[in-house]
Amino acid sequence: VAKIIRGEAMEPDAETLRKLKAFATGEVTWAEANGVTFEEARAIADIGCDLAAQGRLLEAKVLFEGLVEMNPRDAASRAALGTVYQKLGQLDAAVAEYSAAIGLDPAQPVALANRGEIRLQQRDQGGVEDLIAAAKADPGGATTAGRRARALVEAIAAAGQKAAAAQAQQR
Amino acid sequence: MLGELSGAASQISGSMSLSGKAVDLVASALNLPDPVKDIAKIIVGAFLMDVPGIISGATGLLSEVMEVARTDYWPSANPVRAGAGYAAPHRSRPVPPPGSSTANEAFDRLSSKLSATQKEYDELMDRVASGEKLDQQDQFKLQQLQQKLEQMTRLLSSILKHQHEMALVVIQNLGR
Repeated sequence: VAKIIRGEAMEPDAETLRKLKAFATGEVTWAEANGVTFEEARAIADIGCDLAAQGRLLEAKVLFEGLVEMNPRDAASRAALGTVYQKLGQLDAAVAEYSAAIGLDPAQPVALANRGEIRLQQRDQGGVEDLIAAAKADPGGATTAGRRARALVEAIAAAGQKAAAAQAQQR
Repeated sequence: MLGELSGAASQISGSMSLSGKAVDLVASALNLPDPVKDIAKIIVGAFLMDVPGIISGATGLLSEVMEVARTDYWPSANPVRAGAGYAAPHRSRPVPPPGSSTANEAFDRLSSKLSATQKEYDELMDRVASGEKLDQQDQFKLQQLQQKLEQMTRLLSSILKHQHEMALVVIQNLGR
């Protein structure tokens, strides 16, 4: 493939040509065209998570951008890339990735919780819906994002109940 | 439970008045960590257009928000959804002609070496974590493994970046 791209090989074999055409027309992802499996991608994503945890955000960004480019249908990669953008302060790009992840998997807890927080910071009440959806998507609190979303929703709910009780007393 | 929470959240977005102090009390009762309390203040403040409350919440939150968005790779539990867009496992790949080397082969070799190196490194770190004092030879090995891991990760990053660039070129070339 590299030789074809560089113009060094003029006549690609039929299989390579078929894959390139399928990729170019959006029938398959770059990962499918190149035989990259989910397990291989997951191993790379784990490295990206470690890099992000160490604060090596630009390296993590390159890894996750590469993973998303290889397979834009991977909701988990898109959500992870969103968190890297968020840490880099690129909130619009982060929300775009979270929204793409939620579009692919409406129960993606990392994307829902983080988009919810960003929306709330931007005074968008839809953020509460995202947080509730994140808590529902991760009922056992398996992810940090899911646990945080639940804590936030509980805090909002408790505050709301207390305020309602206070108002009732005043009447 | 979530239904009740949704209901209560809707109540907040209504016309109730609520001070940041009340949120503090509730958050303390629930043993919520400070960053969560700050976010809760922003939520409540935003709904009530309580500008001083929003500022108070935001000030406390700004230093914490970067920590909050932890990077997790959390694929769907549904294997079909998680594996969408990836090649099927154990899929046979075309055998390249002898002596040829492509980015994919390098990627595969490096991924496999990286896993093996990471395993060795983890084993040594587990020994350290369990309180074992490493001898000089193992300390040196640990240092070397760490350097090797860093170099391999950098290389892997550059391969992915290269593949990304190649994909863009392919799209452009085939689009002509």
